Amino acid sequence: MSSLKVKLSFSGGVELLFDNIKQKSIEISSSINPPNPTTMKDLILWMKDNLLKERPELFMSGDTVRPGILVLINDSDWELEGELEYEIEDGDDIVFISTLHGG
Amino acid sequence: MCNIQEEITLNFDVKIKPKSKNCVKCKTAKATILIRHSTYCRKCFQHVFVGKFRKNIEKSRNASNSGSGEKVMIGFSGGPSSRAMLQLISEYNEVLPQKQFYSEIVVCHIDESLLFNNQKSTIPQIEQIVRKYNYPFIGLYLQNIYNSDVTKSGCYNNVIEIAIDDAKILQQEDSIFSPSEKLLNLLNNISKLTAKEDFIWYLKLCYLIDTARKNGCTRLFLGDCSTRLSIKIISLTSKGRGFSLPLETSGETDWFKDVIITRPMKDMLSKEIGIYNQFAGLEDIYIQSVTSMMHAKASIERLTEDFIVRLEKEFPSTVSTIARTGAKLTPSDYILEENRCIICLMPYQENNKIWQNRIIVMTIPSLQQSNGCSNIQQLHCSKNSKNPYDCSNVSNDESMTNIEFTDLLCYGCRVNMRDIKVANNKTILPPYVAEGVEEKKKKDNRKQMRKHIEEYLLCNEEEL
Ligand SMILES: [Zn+2]
Ligand SMILES: [Zn+2]
Repeated sequence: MSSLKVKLSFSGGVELLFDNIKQKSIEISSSINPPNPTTMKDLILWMKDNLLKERPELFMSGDTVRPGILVLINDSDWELEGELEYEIEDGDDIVFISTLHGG
Repeated sequence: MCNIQEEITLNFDVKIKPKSKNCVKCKTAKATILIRHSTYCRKCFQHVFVGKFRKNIEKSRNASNSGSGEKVMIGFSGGPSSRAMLQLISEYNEVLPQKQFYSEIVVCHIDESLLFNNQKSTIPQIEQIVRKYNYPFIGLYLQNIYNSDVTKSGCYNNVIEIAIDDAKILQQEDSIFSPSEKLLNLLNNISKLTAKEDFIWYLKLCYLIDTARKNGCTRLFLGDCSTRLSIKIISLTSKGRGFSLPLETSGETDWFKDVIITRPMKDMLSKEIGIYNQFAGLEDIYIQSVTSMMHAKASIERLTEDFIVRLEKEFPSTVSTIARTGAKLTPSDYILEENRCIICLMPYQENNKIWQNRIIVMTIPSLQQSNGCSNIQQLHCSKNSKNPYDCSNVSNDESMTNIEFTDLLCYGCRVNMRDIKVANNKTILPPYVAEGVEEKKKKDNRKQMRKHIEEYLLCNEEEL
């Protein structure tokens, strides 16, 4: 079983939920839920269990990212990449941007 | 694209990925961004985004007929929308270096760090961003709204002290509190977050307008985007601010006469702004607010945000529908310049007091005991006629009843004032509010005086 290197970035206030860290490189299993390949859904749960420091309800809603938080996978809108079903690839660059209380 | 159908397919076969779609604009490049129901490639997204901004800003420039040479101010909170706005205005103004649309651009930021324990000032970070653009920067601290120069006359030194059954105008020096203490006392005495947020916003707005005016700026750019505006449309309505809603959410308003407010971001979703900033590499500054990190029910504003953003996720036309409906609202014919709320500076409805007394259960406790409460009008008159001619100098203890004071407030601010606890530390309202009261009194006195002497006046030439 191999592992995947993923770069995570947080901005717009999401970083506050992650120990005020704006960027983090992580390594996760290529199959968190064997035999299925690791998807965004797995990654988000993994982030919740391993990285999230505060208030999960401000990051998540159900098993997905809270509405109002924008997700870009390699500069592409995750809504076009299958959202939770997207299969993580090695070297992916994933950005979480909060658009809430902006003005 | 049909969201519902896609969801169904996903349920049947979770492994299926959405078919790669092409950009709706150039039709050739692979789409990477979904805005409402349209898919764009990165290049076309940027083109459309900038285009929307330019269309709005041109429209406002043409409408005001100001040509070039206008001095303008950008209200810069540091949040994503105003960050994008700063970049877009600067790009717009520098398209043709020989022909700049605005002769001078001033950037103004109001620091609210006082409200958050031990937080660093936001001014240094903001200034660093603004420096890249070479624009003059004005950094203000919200508490300095208590300075005597943040008034029309520029040196008005009286404030209003709210007590249990009266509101007193007194000289600022008589108060032992610093501006910071005054602001904190005021906000701490407001129990509801909704009212607190409201107060903070209007204090900021008044401060921005005053600063624009004093710096000779004829236009103030505010960064409200369409997501924000649709949240405002709903929350203002639920706070009873429907009367002034068209002024507070429109793309442009001249309600403040010499300072026009323009909202050039009004057609952009917060999602578009987030993506634009990310692609343009525009750094964002996290600006804390009183409801940051709080649950959705903390205030009407927060609840509305949560509601709209959730709805938008399922129905991507929510925001644009609300915003477009809001844009159709025009200011009421009954909006009168003289009926300007002394706190939020927004218009209030003529006779809203009578209406309110009839419809809403709202009494001021101590007055009710002593006065039975139906003879409000009488009380008002007798107080007013005390010294109809004295208008220049205010004695130290000129007091008015709470009723008199609330006469000069809009419905929304009245509700907020009701939320103020007067038992604790002194609640003091800034000089610009006191100045507003006096101005109004002067006007009323003049009217009254005119009425008294009307029959003795010779025909007024102007009226002939
Ligand atoms: Zn394209
Ligand atoms: Zn008001």
